[in-house]
Amino acid sequence: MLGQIERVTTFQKIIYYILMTVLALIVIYPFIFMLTTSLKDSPEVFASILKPFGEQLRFENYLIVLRTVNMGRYMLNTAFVTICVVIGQIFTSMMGGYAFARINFPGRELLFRIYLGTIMIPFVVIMIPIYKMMQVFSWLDKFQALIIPWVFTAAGTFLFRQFFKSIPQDLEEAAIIDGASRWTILWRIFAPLSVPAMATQATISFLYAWNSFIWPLVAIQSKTNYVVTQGLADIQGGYHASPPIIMAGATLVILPTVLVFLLAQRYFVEGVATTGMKN
Amino acid sequence: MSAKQRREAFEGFLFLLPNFLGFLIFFAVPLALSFYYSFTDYNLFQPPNFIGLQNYITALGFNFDPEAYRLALAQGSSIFAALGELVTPKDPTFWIALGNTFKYAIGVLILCIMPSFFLAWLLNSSLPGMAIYRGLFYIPVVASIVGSALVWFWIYNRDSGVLNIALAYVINGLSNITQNLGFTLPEPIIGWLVDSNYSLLSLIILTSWATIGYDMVIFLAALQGIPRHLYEAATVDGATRWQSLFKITIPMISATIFFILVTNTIAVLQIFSEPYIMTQGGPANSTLTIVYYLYQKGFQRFQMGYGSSLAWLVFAIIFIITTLQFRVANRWVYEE
Repeated sequence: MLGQIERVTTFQKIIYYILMTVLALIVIYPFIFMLTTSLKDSPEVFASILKPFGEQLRFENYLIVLRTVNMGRYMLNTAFVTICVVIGQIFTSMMGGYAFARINFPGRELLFRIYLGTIMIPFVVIMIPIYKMMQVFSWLDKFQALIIPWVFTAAGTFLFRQFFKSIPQDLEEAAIIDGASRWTILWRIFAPLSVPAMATQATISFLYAWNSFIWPLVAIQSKTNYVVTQGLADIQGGYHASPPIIMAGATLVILPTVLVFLLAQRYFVEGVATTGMKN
Repeated sequence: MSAKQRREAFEGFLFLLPNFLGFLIFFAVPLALSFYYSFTDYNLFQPPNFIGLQNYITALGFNFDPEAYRLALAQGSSIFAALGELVTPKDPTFWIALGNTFKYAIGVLILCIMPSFFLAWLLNSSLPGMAIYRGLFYIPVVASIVGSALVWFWIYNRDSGVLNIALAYVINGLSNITQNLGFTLPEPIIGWLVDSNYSLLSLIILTSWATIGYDMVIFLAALQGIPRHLYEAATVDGATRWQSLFKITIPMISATIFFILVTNTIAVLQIFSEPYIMTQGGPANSTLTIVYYLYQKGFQRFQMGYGSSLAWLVFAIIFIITTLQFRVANRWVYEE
């Protein structure tokens, strides 16, 4: 829009930046509220709700959340589950994507089309049988239930297939002549080239695993195995349900994804563009 | 098939195996089971009994009660009230949840598409600093919706929430003016989450806020894909900025508008966390969504057969709406 075609005056620029800043402040205001409230004392929250700071900054709220409410434990649980899901999804998606992109086998195109078709089916359709399955496997209330069903992703397989298809065939042919196996080709030649695709898939998997809620809610009952979203929902109904404590908990849940996003913005945006536009 | 081809096919299966096994065990099998459960009275503790279409009839069916109709007429009810007695849904809660979910979807589409397009349009500029604004607008998308819902829960608080306090500030300011004109404005105490007139709207605002950044990024990618020479040619021909917007920009990104319509609808039809955290579906079921209802039936009352039939109804609705959107899109979406 602005600055694309016509020249802009300094006055227009100032108006423009003021407008953008006001809009951005409105959009992120809930997070400002969250951060400032998390550092207040419980009684002063309602007395000074529009003020950014209370009498003093109470960082001990975070200690209460981490220790007494056990959010530290939930964060470790979630980090473990998330890392396993991210690595698992990238591993299976790369293997599958390579097979779909580069190896000829009967039924390949049909199977790929079936994979694509499943992306549309919502998780809730299979939630009840998976719950039953976890019960049969004795995985209910264990991290296995949060990890193993999640390390296979049709969308990720699709992403890597598309990426591998764009890699020139010559590279691979030269390696085959040198006697390299497909396993070596995938991990020695394709993997180093696909770091951007890995980063994109990692951001998608990370967000999905860290923020997931409905499935942990049904699969995990013991508090020691809670993930962060469950732990946070639990604070609100619990003994420590004062706004500063809840906001400190929310900050601890939200901050990791925001930090990773700010560091790897490019890949997040690419993830949206690839999952979005190419389907 | 030559030996070489056979070897290649074997390798192909081997590479696909980890992925395919997972797909089979954790997707295909549960999908088939879920379909089967939806025709049973499964309750997790006893083996399922096949009951045919009973679950679907319970969800979608109606009771006819001529007796109640006659009684209502005899008691002097109007004909419409009496008709309401004659035809009653077998599961009224299902219809409430379905209605809420549709309202939710329409609300989010309205509150999301226009603002996100506007933001993308503003951001599509060559001025420095745009990446920073884009990043800020995107933060609600990456934030856990459970966390965001809890933050908004306190913003929406009836007596001491920021929203009502800010509204009071604005309205008191306006009252000073209107008092001079001879009337006062009402006190702005809105029970955002506790008044069934506002509860669904409050959740719609939250979901829209959490989705705008996503839509904006997709719009922005589309806007940046429009060739500049189109605008240059239009400018040379004397087109105004508004003409460029309506004659070039919007037609060129119609496929993107369509994509956003479809993805937003699919996402909103599966809403669960927002009502679970903020309202537990209340007050008076005003924020009960279809997936939340499924959760209540399947995992709180363990009616997993009925829950499965609800899941398939959700899928059927998504499928029908998506197909309809594709049909309609063929008429208005411009494809290169």
